[in-house]
Amino acid sequence: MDLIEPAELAEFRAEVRDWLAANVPAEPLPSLDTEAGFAAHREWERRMCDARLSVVTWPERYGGRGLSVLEWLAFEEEYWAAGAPVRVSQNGIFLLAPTLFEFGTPAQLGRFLPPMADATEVWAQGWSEPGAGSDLAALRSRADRVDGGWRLNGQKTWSTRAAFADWMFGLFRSEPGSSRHHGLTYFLVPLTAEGVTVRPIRQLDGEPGFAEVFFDDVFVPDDQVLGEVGQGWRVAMSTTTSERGLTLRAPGRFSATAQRLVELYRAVASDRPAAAAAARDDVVDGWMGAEAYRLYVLDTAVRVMAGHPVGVESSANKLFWSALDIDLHRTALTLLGERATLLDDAESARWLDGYQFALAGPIYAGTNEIQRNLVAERVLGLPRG
Amino acid sequence: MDLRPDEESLAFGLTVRTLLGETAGTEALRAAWDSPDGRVPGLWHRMAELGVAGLLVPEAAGGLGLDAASAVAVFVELGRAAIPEPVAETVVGASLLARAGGEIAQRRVPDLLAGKATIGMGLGRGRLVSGAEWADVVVLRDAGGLVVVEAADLELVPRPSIDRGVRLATVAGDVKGERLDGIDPDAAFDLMALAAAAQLVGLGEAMLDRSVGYALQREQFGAVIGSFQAIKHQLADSWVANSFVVPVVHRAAWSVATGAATRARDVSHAKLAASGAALGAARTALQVHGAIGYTYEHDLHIWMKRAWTLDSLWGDRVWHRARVAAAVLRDDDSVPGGGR
Repeated sequence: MDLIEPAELAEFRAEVRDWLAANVPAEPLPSLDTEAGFAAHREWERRMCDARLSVVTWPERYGGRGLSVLEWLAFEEEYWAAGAPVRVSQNGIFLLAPTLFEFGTPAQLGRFLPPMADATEVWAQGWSEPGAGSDLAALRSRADRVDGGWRLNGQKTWSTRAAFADWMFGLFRSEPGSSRHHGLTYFLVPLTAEGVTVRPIRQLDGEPGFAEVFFDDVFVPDDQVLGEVGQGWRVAMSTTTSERGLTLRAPGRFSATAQRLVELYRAVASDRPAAAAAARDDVVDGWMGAEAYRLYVLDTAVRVMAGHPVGVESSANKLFWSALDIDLHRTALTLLGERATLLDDAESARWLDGYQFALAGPIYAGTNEIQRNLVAERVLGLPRG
Repeated sequence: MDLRPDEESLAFGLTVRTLLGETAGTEALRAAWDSPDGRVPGLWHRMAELGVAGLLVPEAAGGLGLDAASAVAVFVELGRAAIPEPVAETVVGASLLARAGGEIAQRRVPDLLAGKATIGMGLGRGRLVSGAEWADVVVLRDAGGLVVVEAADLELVPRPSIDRGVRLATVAGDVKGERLDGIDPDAAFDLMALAAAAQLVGLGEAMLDRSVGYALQREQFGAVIGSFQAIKHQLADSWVANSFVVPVVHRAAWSVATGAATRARDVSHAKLAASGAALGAARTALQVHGAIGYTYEHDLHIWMKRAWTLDSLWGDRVWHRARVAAAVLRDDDSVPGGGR
């Protein structure tokens, strides 16, 4: 057992901290869900990429530094602690990239990774459909074989970032008459292609954070198939249980939120001590939850680096962080008292924004009910109902 | 960096697990409740043969010389088996005696290592001693620090516990003991609280395992109840809760072993988290077992009541949360003295 950070890790952490201190914009960037805000977030990613900090775990030839997941965890801690902008490219770098590394051809890696690293190409995800949410395998969007490629038809929905993104990765049914997990293929589709219609959907906060996307005879060439034709389900799922389960939500995010909650508690304690006292246990529980998540992910990361396979356990950590995130924000709103509804109060507005986002946690990336089924069946060995 | 005990420590934990599985099944535990000394015959001696008594005693003094981080795996197994022996008390107490030295230590440490004596511990402020009835030697806390006293020289009033597998007592009258010099009483208390947290991990895992086993076998509506989401989701939540406690307990063990500045905070976090998960596992286990789990004949209450007991001993919830609050929120007035 050893919890001392190795010297190289501490050095890297210091470099990240210094760079962020010098570069994080003093004023928050405009909302990611506006055209101008999206552009500003792209520009931020480009600056990070210039400093080789946008994708630190990737190989150097694609814009990374070839660092380990431990360094990535440290990067994320510093990033969130510095209050740096939301990562506009996160669908690509955290969800698509691990799949590309596992299944992509060298040509695909060379084509798609560098523009992902500097956010000249931002990715949206194309999983859910109107009739396929938790039951993703019920998806019906179709890919039909044509000369040199495929024609896509159908509809995707709840596509995060799709309102302004450039590309989409997603699953389409490529084998006529197939059902469930069979006959699916993983496609990479430019949202600028002819036949694609993107219709933004306003989220709980009123902003177009996701969109529905219609495909009307959209042509996609063969070299934009990821993995084998017909193996899309396996391609899409392979990384959900390994690195992706680990990287979907970095602990640094919740550590930073917990720290902000502690600071809010202190401010309220001097102002309205009774209110602070009533919320104290929840504040402490929130801090402990964030710390437990940090330690759990650190432990998982160490095992991953030692070559141990990480199974469904790591994706089940979503059950923990999604509840934690809501609790942290709800406690802050309780502390804020009647201010908590006011959008012209910058502190309240920020917590409300975070609270609304946190409420999506138990729903996206596989609902928590689906995660509980996975844990019950694959970890505890209980039968499918 | 690595949060886990090394391979050797884990292997030692497995050895203890095997021994306890063979010798301390629930029939043996029930028999112990009604026996005069409340112990499993021969078990303590076999544990001592493995070296458990001297786990934390320096090698020079005849022990295994492990640190808290390495001992966690053994403490977890004590909880998993819910054994009645005062193992944690004796393991921690022996290490304190061996480090402090003194007349009683000189006389008793060899007995302790040989499995011929056990220790009772009363490090809280309530003068409640655990492992009391069996104890040959008792370690107590007073205003000046820690004292060790021969049990024969002490007036102990037995206090019945909801958990028939523990033996608690209150100290009556004056204590004429030998001072344990050079031992930080707070550090000693934290070692016991860590041992309790680790036992709670074992208890939580044991209750979940039994619940899963029951859910796979009990049929209703023509199917095993483990196929119903209402049952699966409770068990999944319990698994998640248990899983997230383990690294927290390991980190606390590391902080104790290295004397980290965050020791108090980390131990309190571990005790709170482990209690929470174990109490939750107990609730889930009872619900999943249904009426059968509510009977005295069913074994579930053995683990459940141990979890309740370890939740309240070695610093209760209010006290530990206040200590985390003091470290995290820095409102230092919030640590009450009377809680532990």
